[in-house]
Amino acid sequence: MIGHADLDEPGGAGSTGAAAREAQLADWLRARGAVAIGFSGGVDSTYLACMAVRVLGADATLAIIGRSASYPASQWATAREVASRFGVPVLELDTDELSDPRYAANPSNRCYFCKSELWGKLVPVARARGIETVIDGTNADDLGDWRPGARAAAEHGVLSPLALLGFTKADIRDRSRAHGFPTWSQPSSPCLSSRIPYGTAVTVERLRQIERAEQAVRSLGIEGDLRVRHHGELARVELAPELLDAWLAPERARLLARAIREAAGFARVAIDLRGFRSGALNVLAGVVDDTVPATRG
Amino acid sequence: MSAETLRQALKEIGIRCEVEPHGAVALLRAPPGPEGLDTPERRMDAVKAAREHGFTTIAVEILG
Repeated sequence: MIGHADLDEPGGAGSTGAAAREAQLADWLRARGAVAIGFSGGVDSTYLACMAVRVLGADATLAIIGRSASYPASQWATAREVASRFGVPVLELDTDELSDPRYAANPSNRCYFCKSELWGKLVPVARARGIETVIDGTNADDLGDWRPGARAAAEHGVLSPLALLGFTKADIRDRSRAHGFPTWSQPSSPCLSSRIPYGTAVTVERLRQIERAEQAVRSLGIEGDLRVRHHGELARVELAPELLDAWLAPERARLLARAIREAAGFARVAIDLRGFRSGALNVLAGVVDDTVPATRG
Repeated sequence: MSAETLRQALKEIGIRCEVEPHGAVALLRAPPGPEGLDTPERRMDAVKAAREHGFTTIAVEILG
C-alpha cells in the first residue's frame, strides 16, 4: 500500500493537476475501505484497479470482468495480463446482453441494456463478498458524450470516482505512464457492438466479423485507433487520419481490402475519408452533431 | 440527400467518381480509385461537400 508521498511526481508539462487529482483519488479510495471495479482492461479501469491495489491493497480490491460476445478477445487477454502483472485480484463473470431483445435490436440507448445486465450481475457479487462500493472507470471527458450506460450504473449505485474528481482521459494516460501501467498508450476500446449502426441487429456473427476484420487490419502493422464499421456486406474502415495518405494509395488500399474480405467475409470494403473518430455512429444516426468543433479525439 | 448532386459537386472540385448512397454514407466508386483525394485538404473538401448534400459520412470503396 502507498501513501501520498509514494505517488509518482508529475511526469511532464501539464501533469501537475493530474498528480493532485491522483492524491484526491487515494483519499477517496481510503475512505471506502474496499472496492470492486468493473474491469475491462482498458485505459481507465486498469488505472483505477491498479491504483486501488496500491492504495488499499489486494485484499481490499476486486476487479470484475464481465465477459460477453461484445467483449473483444484481445481486450480480455490484455485485462488478464495486466491484472496478473500488477497483482490485481480478478473475478470473471459471464454476461449475456445479446439475449435481451431490447439490446439486440440495437437502439441508440443500447448501452443502457448492456450495463443493466453487467451491473445487475456484478453488484450483487461484490456485495456478497462484503464490498459495498462498486466503481467504474468513467472519466470526466465521458460526461459530455452520449452515454446511456451511465444511467444503468447510477441505478445500481455504481460510483465513478475518476469523473467525480475531474480526471480527463489525458490525466489518466499521464498518471498511467508515470506508474508504468502498459495501458497508458492503449487506444480506446469500446465494445464491438459500437461498430454496428443503430437499428441494425447486434448478432454474434456480426460481432465476430468485426473482431476478425479489425485483427486483420492490425496484422498489417496498423496501430493506434481504428474501427471497422459494419454496414451489412460493406465494411467501412476508419483509420487514424495521419495514416490515410499511405493507406489510400491504390496498392496498399487493395492489400487492406483483401485482408478484410478474406478474414471477415465482407463483400465490399471502403475507407472513410475523414478517418477515425470516437462515436462516429452516433453522428451517422444523428444522435450527436460533429460539425461542432471537437474538444477531444 | 442526393448522390447525383454530390457526384456533380465532387466533379467540380476535381474528384471524378460515381456516388452510391448507403444510408447516410456516401460511397465513392471509381476503378482504380477516385482521383484527387491524395491530400488531407482535398479529403476535407470531399467531406464538406458530402455534408452539404445531406450525407454524414463519406468513404471510398476499394475495388479490385
